[in-house]
Amino acid sequence: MSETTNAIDAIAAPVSSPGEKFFPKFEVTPELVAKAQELVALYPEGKEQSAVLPIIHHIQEEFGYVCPEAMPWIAEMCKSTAIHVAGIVTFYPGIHRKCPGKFHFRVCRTIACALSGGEELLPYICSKMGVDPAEMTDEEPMVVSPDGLWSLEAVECLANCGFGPNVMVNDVLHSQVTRGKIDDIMAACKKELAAERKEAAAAKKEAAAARREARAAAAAEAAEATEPTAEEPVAKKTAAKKAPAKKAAPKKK
Amino acid sequence: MSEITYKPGKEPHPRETRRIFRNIDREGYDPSIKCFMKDGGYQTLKKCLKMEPADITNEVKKSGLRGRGGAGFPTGVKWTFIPKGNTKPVYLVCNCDESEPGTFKDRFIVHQDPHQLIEGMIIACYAVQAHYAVIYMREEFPEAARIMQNALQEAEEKNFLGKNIQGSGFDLKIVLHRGAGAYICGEETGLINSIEGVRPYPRIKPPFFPAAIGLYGCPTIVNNVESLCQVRQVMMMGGEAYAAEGAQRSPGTRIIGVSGDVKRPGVYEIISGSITYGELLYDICGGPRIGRKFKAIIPGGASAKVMRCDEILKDRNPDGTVREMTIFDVPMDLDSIAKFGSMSGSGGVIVMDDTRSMPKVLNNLNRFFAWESCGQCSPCREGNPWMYKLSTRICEGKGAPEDVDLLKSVADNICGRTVCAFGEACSWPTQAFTTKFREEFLALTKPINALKPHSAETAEARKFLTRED
Ligand SMILES: Cc1cc2nc3c(=O)[nH]c(=O)nc-3n(C[C@H](O)[C@H](O)[C@H](O)COP(=O)(O)O)c2cc1C
Ligand code: SF4
Ligand code: FES
Repeated sequence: MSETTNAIDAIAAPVSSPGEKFFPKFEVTPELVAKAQELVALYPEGKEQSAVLPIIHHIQEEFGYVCPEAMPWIAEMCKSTAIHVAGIVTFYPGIHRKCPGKFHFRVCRTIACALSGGEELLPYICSKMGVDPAEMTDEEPMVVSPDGLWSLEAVECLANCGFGPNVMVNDVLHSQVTRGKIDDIMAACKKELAAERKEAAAAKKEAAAARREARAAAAAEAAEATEPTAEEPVAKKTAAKKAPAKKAAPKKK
Repeated sequence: MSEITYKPGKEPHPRETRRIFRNIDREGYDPSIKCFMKDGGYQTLKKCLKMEPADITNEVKKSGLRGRGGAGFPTGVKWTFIPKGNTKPVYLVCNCDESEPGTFKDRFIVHQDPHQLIEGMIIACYAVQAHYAVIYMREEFPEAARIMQNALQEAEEKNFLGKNIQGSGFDLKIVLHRGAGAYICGEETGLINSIEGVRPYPRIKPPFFPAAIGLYGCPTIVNNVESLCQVRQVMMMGGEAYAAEGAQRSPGTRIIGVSGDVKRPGVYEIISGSITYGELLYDICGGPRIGRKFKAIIPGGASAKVMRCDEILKDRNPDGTVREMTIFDVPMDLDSIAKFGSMSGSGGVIVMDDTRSMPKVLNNLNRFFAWESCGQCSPCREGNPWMYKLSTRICEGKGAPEDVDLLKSVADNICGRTVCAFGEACSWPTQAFTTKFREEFLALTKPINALKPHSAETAEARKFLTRED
């Protein structure tokens, strides 16, 4: 009745998610192009379009999801059109148009797992993640926690039916999952995050220290350079010395 | 061979015969090519490369091997469907989508013994003279994808893949292609479209039989993971020896996955037809959980028709007399269960005991099918959500008795009117559940519900039609 967006506009519209802060923003780099070309080369000549799924998988691995800006680029890489890529992206349940959380939970809800209590895990996981189960709809089956750390999706059979309930967390399958096991898995995730953060903080500290050192060295040199030799201008010399030192800092982990 | 030991707690049951699963959960075995070759791996391939391709096809035909992906089509016969005098390239695709609920056998092969599959594929490719093959793996196997990629690399380094394999002049490239979580990609023509990078809508047969017009419009052989491993087994044993073992019309071993309400669910490799459903569920799987009774069995993956455990099945003896039995007396081969209206399909046995509500089970399956329909044919696209709504309404106690018949009639009208076999796969459960457990469905309904509007809008619309009381 009111403002109805057409389907294509809806696909092209970005969907924001708190999970984004854990993934880099989509950006075309020479490495990304090289990877896409490598994937295209796997298929027979003239069949570049076959690489659309492999490229999408690579993008999801790197950036978490397929954002609208990525679609025309994917199309360019596999000699297709953006709307065709959009058609693929909207078809498969395994392709996300919204960024998942850092730890993405897929809970099997199909028959064998349901018989062993898979569906009953969903409300429990929701409450632990702090998400509303009512938000999980057919149109948007994935919910992301406000802190972006967790996301949850109910999926169909994970092909481990005898050992249900089955839950996949990122790439790892957990079988015969109970509430207690969910607690353990989430605790392990938090630990992993803490370790990662600690490492990142240490790297940052080191980088800062290196930068400070470089600055001090540059300053010392600048001081030395106050007695200019012949025609060399001071400013030029310090700038030249400073630049490489600054560049080296973030590299040093 | 006798020195094989398995990991503690993972030992095969004495009634199992481990061929394809020989190395699954084996002590000290890893997916590396070293392990595989130490155990005689790739020797069969070397032997095959010295044979004429047509002789391999003949051997597979002689073995009577039938596909393990669900339809049970004779593998060797399928290979001969490549048109005579074909000048286009031939492709081979390994179906590792394993998305049928209740089926979980291929995952063990691709995670633990990838080289067995690769060797089987190379033999099959050589037989049909394919120089390019694809392993289509479901996206939910990320770990297996890494293992397989690594295994392909190892095989190439040892010249089992690539150019001039083992000096035979035969070239082959195998590519791993990952799906993205859609059940319909298991259907062979949907799978082919998925590889081509278009939406995986199944193609209509005829004319699109993959063996004639498949990937990129060229002849393509699509085989399941287990089928291709069985090909290797056939070439190892010889066609005649293979055919001599197990059920006459479906020889060899079969991998059965049991899930649901049994004491010991799991995967078991048995000689086809050597045991009955009763022996499988009571002897191997340990029977029902304490204090419970078996109620229903889905014998071949979610889309097979459910069987009641107390149903009397009538079979004809060779001398013409009629013999009465239950599902527990039916042998586990590919055909026996088909005589009683179900199918053995991909070997996924789902068991339900007397604590289960059948309408709820059906409702779960209906949601699966409603979610997974590709949307190409209207009966399937519209019918499945309709069936799901009806079964939900019944489960919630809001249905009328007529809803049960309506539910079945929707299913009857999908089946046989669609592009692909998903139409049958989704209607069989509803047909079987509503007929065999009709009383359970009816018990949840109330005649008064027929007069009750189910939503606020219909209530509004009906205000003018019904008497206020
Ligand atoms: C809806 C549908 C889903 C299917 N899913 C699978 C599957 O997950 N894995 C599989 O191997 N075959 C599946 N099949 C069967 C394939 O279409 C095909 O028959 C099979 O891969 C052929 O291999 P085979 O001859 O070795 O059995 C499915 C068929 C249909 C109609
Ligand atoms: S039967 Fe269903 S799944 Fe198969 S092509 Fe038609 S709509 Fe798609
Ligand atoms: S039903 Fe859950 S893994 Fe198959």
